Amino acid sequence: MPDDALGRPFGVPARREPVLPNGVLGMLIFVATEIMFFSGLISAFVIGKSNALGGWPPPGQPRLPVEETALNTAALLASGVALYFANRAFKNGAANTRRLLLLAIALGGFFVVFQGAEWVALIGEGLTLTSGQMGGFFYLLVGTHALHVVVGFVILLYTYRELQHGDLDRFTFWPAQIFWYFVVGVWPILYWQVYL
Amino acid sequence: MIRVARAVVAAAAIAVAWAADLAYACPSCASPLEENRQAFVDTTVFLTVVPLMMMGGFIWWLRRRIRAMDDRPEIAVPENLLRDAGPFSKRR
Repeated sequence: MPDDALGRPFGVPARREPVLPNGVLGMLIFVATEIMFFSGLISAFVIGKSNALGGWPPPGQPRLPVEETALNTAALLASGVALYFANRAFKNGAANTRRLLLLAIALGGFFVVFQGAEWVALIGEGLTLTSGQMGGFFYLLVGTHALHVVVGFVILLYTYRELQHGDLDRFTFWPAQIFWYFVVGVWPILYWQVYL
Repeated sequence: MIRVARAVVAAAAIAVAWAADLAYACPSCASPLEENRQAFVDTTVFLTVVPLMMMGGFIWWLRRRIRAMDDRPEIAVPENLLRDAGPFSKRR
């Protein structure tokens, strides 16, 4: 019996794909709660900043490295773009999927390492969690995001491992991408609010 | 008896509500700083709009996805038959 282009025999009802796979739905719900969590943190920061007497940043506190973090922001955004192209390559069965996914992971790793170095420098300058309102907000907001980047980094490593073994399917890759796009998307807002 | 008890409870609730002073749970609402009050209004709008946008966006995306899936033929049909279906073809 001849088959169609998708390899299905003619006249046989195709098994319908779920509108929303369970993993994707679960990740969307999780990311929605995360968006509200970060919205709450950002709102608290905006109100705290506007309430500060003597302007913001408060006098006597170290300045945040705006230019260096701009470079780091570019690296994280580039990581999101690389993941987008990795997904396109994966859908088309292209050979460069692995390279693009590895690039996305490497850029994410660069972001984490760079931010770690930035924190060491800031702690050296006296900005700690208890040094004042600025330090408290900075480590809470940026630290919470950094924790998410690390989790996303581990998820991407897992997808890469699955890809290496030839076990990666799009129902695994899709939720991983949603989480990473969230991590990438929330950072420019944090950068704009906290650093600029 | 039950009527009296209900009336006492209602009267007590009204008395408590009457006696209570205004509670400023929000430290920004009565702030003398204009910037602070504005920040409170902005964040209130932000926190109201974000969940609505998320839900609206999700419903819009889901609707688009369901429509796209409905357009796909449920059984495999030879290409020449799909072409012959003319304006009624699901592929159009």
